[in-house]
Amino acid sequence: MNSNSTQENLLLYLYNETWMADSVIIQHAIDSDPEIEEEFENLKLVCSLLDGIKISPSSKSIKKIMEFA
Amino acid sequence: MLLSDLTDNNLISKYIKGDNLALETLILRHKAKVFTSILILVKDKEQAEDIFQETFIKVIKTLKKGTYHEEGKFLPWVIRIGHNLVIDHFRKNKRMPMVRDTDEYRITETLKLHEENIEDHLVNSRIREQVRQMVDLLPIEQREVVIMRHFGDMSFKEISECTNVSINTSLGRMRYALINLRKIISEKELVLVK
Repeated sequence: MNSNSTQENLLLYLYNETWMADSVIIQHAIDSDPEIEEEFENLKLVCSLLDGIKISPSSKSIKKIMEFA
Repeated sequence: MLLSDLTDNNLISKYIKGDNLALETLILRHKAKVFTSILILVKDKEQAEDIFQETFIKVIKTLKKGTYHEEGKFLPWVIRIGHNLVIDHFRKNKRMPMVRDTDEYRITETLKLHEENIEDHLVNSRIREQVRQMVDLLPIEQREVVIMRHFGDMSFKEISECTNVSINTSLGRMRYALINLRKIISEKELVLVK
């Protein structure tokens, strides 16, 4: 994999958007190259943090919507 | 079968047939993602609440008219409605979102950190708030991709179609968003407890 396609593939792999065959190749690259592994782990960490930042609206907003419905 | 076990499309069908609880289930299922995606753009909770309400009112009107297409995914559609309402809001108030910048954006905003020990759940909620504040600092294109991927559950292909850029550009923006966020975390020496 060249540098640009490596970066794109890492991201696609991280977000589960790769085909099975590509996933195997990418995982192999992660396992065999410490730099790629480090980049992947950094991306994964931030990704997991983003998944945790959901904030809910007030119950008042839900009530107003349901009143309209 | 519980309403919460039904798919989005099943809940929509039930609502169209008159089951308001089905609609409420649908809203409660997706409220956090939709609200957070709006809040990240407008950065004001009160405005986000208003736009959130407008978003679902638009959703309801479309469902009642019978013009919602079942083939499409419900959540990305709602996120797009919210996103467009945010843009309308900015236009109305003559306020532009953060200036479009290059992907290699240098984050220089500082965040104050508390160093004293606190309970795990307080630590985690502080981290969540800090991460949300960090996302606020990203250039608008990077924030958009983050919102669409993490809250809109859109694929990079869908994001590229929605934002009229190539899939490589979408991937690049997401990559730089994650890199920039990682930089801030390192610079601020945030201790991340998961």
